[in-house]
Amino acid sequence: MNVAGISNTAVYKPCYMLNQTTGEVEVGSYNYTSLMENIQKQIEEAKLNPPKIGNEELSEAEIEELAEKYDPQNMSQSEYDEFIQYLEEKGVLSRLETSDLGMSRITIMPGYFEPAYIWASSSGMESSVHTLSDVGGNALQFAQIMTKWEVPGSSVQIRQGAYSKVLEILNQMNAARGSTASNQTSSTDGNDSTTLTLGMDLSYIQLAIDRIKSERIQSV
Amino acid sequence: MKRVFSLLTLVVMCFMLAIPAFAVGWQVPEALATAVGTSDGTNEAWAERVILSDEQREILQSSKIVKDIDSDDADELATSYPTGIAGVAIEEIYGYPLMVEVETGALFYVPGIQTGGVLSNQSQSESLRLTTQQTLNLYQRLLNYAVANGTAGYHYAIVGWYVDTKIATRADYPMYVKYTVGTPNFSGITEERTVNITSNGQWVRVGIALGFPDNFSETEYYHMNAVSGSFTYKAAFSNKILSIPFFSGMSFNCDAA
Repeated sequence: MNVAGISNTAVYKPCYMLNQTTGEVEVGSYNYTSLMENIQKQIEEAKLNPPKIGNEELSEAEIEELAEKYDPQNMSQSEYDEFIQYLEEKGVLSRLETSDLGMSRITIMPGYFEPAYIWASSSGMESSVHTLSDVGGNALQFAQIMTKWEVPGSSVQIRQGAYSKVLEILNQMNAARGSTASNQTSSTDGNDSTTLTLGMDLSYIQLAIDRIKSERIQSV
Repeated sequence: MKRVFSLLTLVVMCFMLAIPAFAVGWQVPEALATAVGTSDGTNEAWAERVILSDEQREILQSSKIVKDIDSDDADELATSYPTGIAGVAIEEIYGYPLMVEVETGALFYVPGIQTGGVLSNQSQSESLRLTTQQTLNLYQRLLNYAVANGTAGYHYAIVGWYVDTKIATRADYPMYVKYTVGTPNFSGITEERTVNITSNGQWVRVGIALGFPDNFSETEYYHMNAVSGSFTYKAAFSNKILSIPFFSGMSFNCDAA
């Protein structure tokens, strides 16, 4: 069974598909030539055009609204996805930036992203974090960790730049939530929630890392 | 001179490909060297770590034909030149089945549908090993995901794997990592890449979208190369420039006879 167009000169390669009748996985083939042409086209476009980066900023009201809706330190994957999509709709992030930003679906964008990243921190404790769930849904912590991976020797840091923007917004949301909580409790202890968050509970991080390290191949 | 090294690298890589993995790990002074055993993981799907036999070690040693190479131009295999603690290790491999949305040509993977994890052996050559059923289970999950979350009326197919390899380097005087990625790949990467390493204990992560290789089989064992390369550093005491090869990949149908 072929899943893409038919051409006499096309090369077909194996793929796995869902049999619509049985719901079972079955082997088929796809038009590899067509896919590679599409990828090559994207690579050529990437060479000619600078990457599109979102440059809009959120208003204070929008930050407040987000702060009411999401807890930056405790977000589910679907909440995080929704949050990132909101930032894309607002022009803070471009589609290119959101393609690989820890959402539940990562899209390959040929030509724009280097395959290699280098860990830019003296401490490697957090370098095993891959997903939001690795840090228990703490999006603030997740974004902070992910900013430490950078494209080696390049001034173009699409992913790191995107995570930095996300981190800044999450910090603002966190501060807004902190001030709201502070107002509600009439607390005057002067604690800065942002500082508290950025300081992070190291024991929690260690627990998360230990969990990842103890991970073996998942039961598939 | 570089050609000589390239040829040598090719010979060594061919040798490495001939065995699933071998455990040399960090290059440490002989007195500090520790034996590296087979995986203590209980899951059969985990990569098997193979200890080099004496014969295999001899082959590797005999491939070191670059002793007279100019030190400022060339690399040497570091296996018989232990100096300070230096080395390279595959610290993590994650494999994600890779899907194409046929109507748009968009390639994507789902981080929650993956296999792999942190490797504890500090080996410079690692492969994720999956049985036929384990692989099919992952494909089924991703295809089900596409049915539930994809665009209605669109078609989805799994065309390969996104393989993410985390490489740990260690040397007092690190220089660079050179690497190539497997083919066919959908990332448009064909040439060798270099990453400068500026500090001791640096991690490099290489993620690559790979198509099923030419030796793909539904039922027979086959291997997919993800990343291969070398870590080059200056030896702490001898001032020699040394290189240690590394390799990562995935193996399928490992339960096939």
